[in-house]
Amino acid sequence: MDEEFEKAVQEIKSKTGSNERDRLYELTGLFVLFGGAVLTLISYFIAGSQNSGNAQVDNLEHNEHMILAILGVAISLVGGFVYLRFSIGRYLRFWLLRQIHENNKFYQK
Amino acid sequence: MDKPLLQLDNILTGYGTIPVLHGIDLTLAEGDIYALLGPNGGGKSTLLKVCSRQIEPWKGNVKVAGRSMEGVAPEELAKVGVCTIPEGKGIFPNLTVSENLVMMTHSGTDLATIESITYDRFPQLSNKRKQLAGTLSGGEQQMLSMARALGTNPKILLLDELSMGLAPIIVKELYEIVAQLAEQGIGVLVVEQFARTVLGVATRAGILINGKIISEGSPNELEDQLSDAYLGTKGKI
Repeated sequence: MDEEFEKAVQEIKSKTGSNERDRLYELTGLFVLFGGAVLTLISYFIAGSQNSGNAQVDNLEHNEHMILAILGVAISLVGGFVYLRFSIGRYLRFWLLRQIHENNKFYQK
Repeated sequence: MDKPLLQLDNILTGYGTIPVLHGIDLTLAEGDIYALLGPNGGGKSTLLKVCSRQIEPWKGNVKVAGRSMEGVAPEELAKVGVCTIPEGKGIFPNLTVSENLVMMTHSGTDLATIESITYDRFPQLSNKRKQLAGTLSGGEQQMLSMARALGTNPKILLLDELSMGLAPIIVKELYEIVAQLAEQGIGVLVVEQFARTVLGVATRAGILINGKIISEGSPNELEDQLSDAYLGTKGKI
């Protein structure tokens, strides 16, 4: 057998389908989106329950929880973008395959 | 013994939940022209798609040069020299002949080489470089498709219904080219519904019916069994 061919075959990298990987990223994005929202809600309720009787301490605590809530919103946004990116990617891949398939069918008529 | 170029071990696969191939074993060595024959709907094209990894086998293994192809993407296989000429020509009908040749450079062969090989072998295409491939005659389209096999230096050639819709003289001419490729050491697996021409150049043949190879042997041995197979008096499951 052609040694060059045999070598090239041995060097092929096998990989799992990118579709499954995209699905994993999509789910991670969704998880992060809701995780950020939950963090924001928790921060809101904890901040609301701060009532030590010392306004200065309460203000300090409120500020910390506001920062956490904003961080939660930011995390949610990032998760949302990741989710959108990979769900649109998967949809477009499907759409492209459909286009190719229909195009082939049309020209074979 | 030398490793076969292509080896299928007990391949079982199908579409959705419907099985099409029921345990196919096949080997293809260098210089072999294996003609897989059988009536429509027997699973011939599906088998070729399994070989080129376009369809994942449910069970069994595809080996190329002795290596299992599990998890290998079809484009990777194409790059190393497994060339598929699909049913319906497999060209880009809305691109010109020249542009189609540009699309064949994916394997690393430069355009000048592909053009030179194509136009030397098929001079009629050189006069139609700017013509849309979809407007060529059936024979010319198949020639353009074959140019891929000639220009990209494949090691395994998978041909699906080369003769479909073509005049017998063109089919004969194309199979002569296939025979020349096999002489250079390329392994050719060809599936055909119309058997006579391919049996003239094949080194081995098999009859595929209802997803099973019911008979395998030399082309002469199989020629006698073909009528039975096509008329359904053999291979019922």
